[in-house]
Amino acid sequence: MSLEKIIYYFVLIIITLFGAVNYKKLTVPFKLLTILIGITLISEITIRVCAKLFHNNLPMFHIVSFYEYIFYMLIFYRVFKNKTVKNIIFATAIIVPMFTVVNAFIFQPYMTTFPSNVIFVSNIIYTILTMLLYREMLLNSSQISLFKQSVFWFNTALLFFSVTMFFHLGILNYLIKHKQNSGILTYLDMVANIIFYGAFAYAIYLNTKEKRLVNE
Amino acid sequence: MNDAGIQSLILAASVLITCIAGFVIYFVVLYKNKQVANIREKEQLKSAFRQEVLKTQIEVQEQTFIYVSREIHDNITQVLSFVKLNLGIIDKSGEEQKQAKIMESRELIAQVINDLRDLSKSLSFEYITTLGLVKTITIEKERINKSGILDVELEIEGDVYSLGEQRELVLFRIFQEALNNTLKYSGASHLKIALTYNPELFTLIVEDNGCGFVAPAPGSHTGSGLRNIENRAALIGAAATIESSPGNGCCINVTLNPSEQHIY
Repeated sequence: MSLEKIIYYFVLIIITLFGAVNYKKLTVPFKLLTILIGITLISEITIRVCAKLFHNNLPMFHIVSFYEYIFYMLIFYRVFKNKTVKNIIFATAIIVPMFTVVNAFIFQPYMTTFPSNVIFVSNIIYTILTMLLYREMLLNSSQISLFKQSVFWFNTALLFFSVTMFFHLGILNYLIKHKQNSGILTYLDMVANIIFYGAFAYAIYLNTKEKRLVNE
Repeated sequence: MNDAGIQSLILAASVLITCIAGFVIYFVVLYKNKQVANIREKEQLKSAFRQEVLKTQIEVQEQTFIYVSREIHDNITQVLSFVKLNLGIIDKSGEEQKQAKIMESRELIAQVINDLRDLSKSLSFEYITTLGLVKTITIEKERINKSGILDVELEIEGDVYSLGEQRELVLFRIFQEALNNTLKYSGASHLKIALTYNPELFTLIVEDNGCGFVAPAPGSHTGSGLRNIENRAALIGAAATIESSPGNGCCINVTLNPSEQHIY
């Protein structure tokens, strides 16, 4: 296993443990985020095991994209205050998972195809929601420094990750189709993942402090 | 897709990521500016509130001075003049009359002492903060009833709690303004004051049976005394409504959520 992969798993383990230990101090969206990261860790291990044992881990990507979307929507649903946005989130939290199931059986069969359609749609929605969340943060600005707000770090990390995901998939698709070495892309993907989950870790850490401040 | 294509894709990705980074930096700057603007606005509101409280204190004091000067002129000076007159003619009276006049003068001086004691109590606006809103309004009610100008009825409902010094001072000033309007313009014979203390809502109602008037529309510039009541109420996070129509008296209703946070 490569060093960046080890660091990636280590980051996931640390966040899950930290989140679990401080679970009671977290607000609901960050409790959900901790659970999501814990499940992501299990999924990553399962994906590796499937690849080793069955030489096919594609069904796992379909499952991951299904629950990941639901979790992010639950998080956004709890973070947003605007009722219209909440209703839209609620609607997409039903439509997109349904599309994921249809896609896995019809458009991109789960045994043979990577669920790029679902990931593409999900990331567009994540990008739109992060933009809307920035807008809501501006409209309801607080006196706390932006860099000490857990929501800001969560949102920024997700925005960068969602935007880079389009290009990652595009380039990966090209490299695989042309049977070229995708090692550098996998390496960059790992680095991006480490930064992404690192930002989530910081957001969870800040959230434990925020709640303590409120309680005080 | 050829090598040029993939190069373009990588370039596009780099441009987009730079744009996103720029956007986040722009957002951070915008947010910071909003925070600064909010702080400035809050400071301005605080300063306006402090000024308004000071103005209210001065107005309450002015009102008190008017009352004190009227009391001294209409009551104390009159009684003392009568005592002086009594004592002036005492030499020419017989022994029995002398005793009666001395007794009468003593009683009148005792009454003056009592009146002066009452006056000294109302000389400072601080008695609102020490006695509280209910006690202060009760004293005012007794004073008006004693004067016989109006029949004042006071109703208190619920468990009385403190609304905070500044809010009680402003509420008392609103009450004073309403009382003044009733005394000056309404020709009312009866005034009802109701204070309701619910855990989540405080209500002050001042209702008279006077001639009434055409209530100005909300936000209109007529009736500055009434606008003052509305503005003062808004200042402490309360809402004031004024209901009146010719021949049907006037009712001023002030509601306040005691647990609501304010800038001061």
